[in-house]
Amino acid sequence: MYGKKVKLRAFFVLLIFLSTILTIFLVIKALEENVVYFKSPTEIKNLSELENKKIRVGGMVKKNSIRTNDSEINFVITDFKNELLVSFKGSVPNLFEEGKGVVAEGFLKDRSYLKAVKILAKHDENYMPPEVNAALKDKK
Amino acid sequence: MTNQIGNYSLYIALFASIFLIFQSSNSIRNKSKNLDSKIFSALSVQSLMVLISFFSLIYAFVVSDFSNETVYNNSHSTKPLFYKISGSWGNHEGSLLLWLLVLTIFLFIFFISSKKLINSYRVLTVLFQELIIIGFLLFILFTSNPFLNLFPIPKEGTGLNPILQDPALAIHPPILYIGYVGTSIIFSSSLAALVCGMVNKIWANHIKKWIIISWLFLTIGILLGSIWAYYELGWGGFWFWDPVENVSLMPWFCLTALLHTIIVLEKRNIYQSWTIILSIATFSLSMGGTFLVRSGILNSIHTFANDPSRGIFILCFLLLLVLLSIFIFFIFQKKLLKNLSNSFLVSKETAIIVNNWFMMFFLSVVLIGTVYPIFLEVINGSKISIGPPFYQKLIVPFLIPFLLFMAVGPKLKWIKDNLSKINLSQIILFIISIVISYLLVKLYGISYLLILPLFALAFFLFFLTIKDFFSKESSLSQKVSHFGFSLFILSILFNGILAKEFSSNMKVGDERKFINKIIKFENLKIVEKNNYKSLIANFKISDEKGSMNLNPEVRIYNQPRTLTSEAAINSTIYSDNFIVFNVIKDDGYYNVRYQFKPLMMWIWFSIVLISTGGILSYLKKMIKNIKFIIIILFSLFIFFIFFKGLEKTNDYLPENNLNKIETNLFFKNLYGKNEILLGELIDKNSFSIINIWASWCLPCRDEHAYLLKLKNINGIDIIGINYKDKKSNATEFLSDLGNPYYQVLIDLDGTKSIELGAIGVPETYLIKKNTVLKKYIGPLDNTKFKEIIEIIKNEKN
Repeated sequence: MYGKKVKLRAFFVLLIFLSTILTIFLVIKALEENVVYFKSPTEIKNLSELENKKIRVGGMVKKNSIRTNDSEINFVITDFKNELLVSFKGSVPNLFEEGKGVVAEGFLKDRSYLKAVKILAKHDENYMPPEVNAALKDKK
Repeated sequence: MTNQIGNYSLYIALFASIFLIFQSSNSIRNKSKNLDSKIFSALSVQSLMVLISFFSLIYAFVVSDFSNETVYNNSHSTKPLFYKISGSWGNHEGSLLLWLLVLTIFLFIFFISSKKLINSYRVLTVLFQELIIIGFLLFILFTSNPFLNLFPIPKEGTGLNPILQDPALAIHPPILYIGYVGTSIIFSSSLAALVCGMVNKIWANHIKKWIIISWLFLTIGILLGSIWAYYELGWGGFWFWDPVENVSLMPWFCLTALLHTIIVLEKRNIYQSWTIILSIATFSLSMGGTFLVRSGILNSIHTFANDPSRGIFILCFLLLLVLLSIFIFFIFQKKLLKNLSNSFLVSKETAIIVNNWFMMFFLSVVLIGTVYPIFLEVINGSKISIGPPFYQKLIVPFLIPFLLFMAVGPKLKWIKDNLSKINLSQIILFIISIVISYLLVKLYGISYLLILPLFALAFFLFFLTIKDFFSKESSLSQKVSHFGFSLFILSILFNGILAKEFSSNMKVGDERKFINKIIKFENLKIVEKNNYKSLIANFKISDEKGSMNLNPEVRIYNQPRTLTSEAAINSTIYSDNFIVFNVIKDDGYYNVRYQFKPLMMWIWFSIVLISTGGILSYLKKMIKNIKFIIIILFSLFIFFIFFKGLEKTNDYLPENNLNKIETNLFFKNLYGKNEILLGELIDKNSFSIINIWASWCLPCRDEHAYLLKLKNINGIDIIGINYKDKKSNATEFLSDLGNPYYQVLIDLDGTKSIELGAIGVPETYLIKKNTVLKKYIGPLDNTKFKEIIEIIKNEKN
């Protein structure tokens, strides 16, 4: 028979093994459900199908495109090739401004309309989201 | 001059470092024992030099020496002194110098405070630490030197990001860095202990102090950062799972695990290799955190410095250190005592291992969530982000067993215990907790399944730790920290369940209903400050119980030109009322966000309490006689001071300063070419009206009819200022709708309107002899129109 110590060790090893597998399983499952993809307006134009999943869109706020009313802010995100209309209810960050970079998170209603639930802008006056930067470079 | 001093002292520190590495490796080989004084003097020279260079940087910031590139890039002469000083570590170069300073000073303190331990261990620690220091020195000197000369010397600096001009954030980096860098001493000394074969009780007792100090500073550093994000960024919460936040949380999990394991090593002399692995991991995560934040690889909403090449250096350096430590670990691992002393399943050792498992689980969740997007982008180029639900889903369910172990674990005895000794009072407490939670869940009508067990166990831990304060078992610091944690979870739960949020776009004078509250945007004032202009709004929030006025601010900084929002928070011990507003564009609408956050203060307080546990265990020997009540009072006091500091004082300038109008401004006329002085247009004896408008501004169209009406009243000249507009559009606008203006002046870039004190369009000022009688922000309407008529009538009589 194995000693008590060995049994205890085996028990621990088994426990560690099981918990590792459980962890990996849970993490992967949660990842699948909660990943938010980032797209540019052009990529959205070219989407083959619209999923009812949260998405992030990055680009510049088009000049003179912000329209505000009592409850909503509407504006246009552009990557200078394609545009996307965004409507948003909620609070915007300080650096949300026309002609500045912005990231909108929300649900696509069609290929040119996004209902945003969150607006992000970075707190650096010269900030442009890296994705936007890349998207803009691609266009040039 | 200061640049040279700073630079040369860094070079001297570099030589000291080389000398120390040489000497220490030599002394290990020769086993000589007389090197103590040599190493001591080299270490003092090094710390002194780094200190000098650090202070010369601060000096350069204080006197605004713009011949220094770092100062030029990050400061401005009009900045308040306090932020000039904090600005010196608010940037990449300065923050690394601070890292270095803490590294050297910690090593110095370590060296003088470890005299009781064997020499070879101390010398080895110096060697490992110097390897880190030399890496940082090279990094600073060759990639991010804070003492670069700038010629010709600029007259003015470009300023510090205003968002960083905040008391909490001024002290946040130094405190966090002390925490980070403290882990370097743990790393070096655990490697040294491993090599010397002295991973034992004595070493554990010695290194425990360093672990607690690092843990303490890291905790408080994270707390400060979190508080800053709460009120400065206007995010209105305490944790957002932003990569930059996560990066500080990862070493914290590791360090917390280490904090528990080291006690086992100290008491029972087991888990040696696990302790060493944890020390290595903690330090790697701290360094890795710096790498991720500094490199710009992390796609965070708030990474401040972006420079990939610097990041690569840190990454290589980190990899080198990790490889070295793993190498050392495998070579010397055999030296570890194979002390297979008896331990049983039900024992304190197991409980602590369970704690470590949870910590490692939380760590891996956060690590994966933070690193996976980077990883995926490298693999297939898709850009993703992982939101809070990911973390919540994985962490929240595991808090339930975690809380249970936290309550029961400390009660277990070392080596062997049995569960049958559970006594009646514990069972009663458990039942009470369940009943309370059940009632709460019913009361608030919560449908989320996990809330009930979470509440029940948090209450159980809460009651159990309170009860434990009256017993002599287990250490005070553990009780305080665990109690703090139960309070933390409870406050988060209440906060999460009862928090209410409302956002809307409002104009001055607007009113909104929100649940049982009425939020009224009463007025907006403009105050000129030294280095910024602020728009101070006045919101009245009323419900059946009464009303309060909150004054959030938007600051428009001039250097660099940036907008920041200062939330107005009314904190009481029951709840926070949080309001923040924002300028969207110049159309009279402001984006307003109101939050009702119950028990927010308790979240901060519970973290202070958790760290108080750390302070207690460190001071245990000194304060045998002082009861814990005094400590709690003291922490309450600190907490109180802290929040006094947070309360914004809205110091308005006296009214009369706002009343004078700047008339010494030249404008171009819409219909002519000449420049006209505003002062000449204003009627010296009677009333004038200044109206700021633009053709693109929709509210301007609404108010146009009133302007035309005003024109028809005798004796009033309306001076129109056309704001950021096209000439053709403006003339078209006036010919379409009629021209109410006596003169139309053009303000192409909007700067002159700012001098007049305007913040947007439309704005209307009623003026008598250069004095503003009334200022209207937003379009005129019938009531405002009548008011103007009334004022003119009264003044004339």
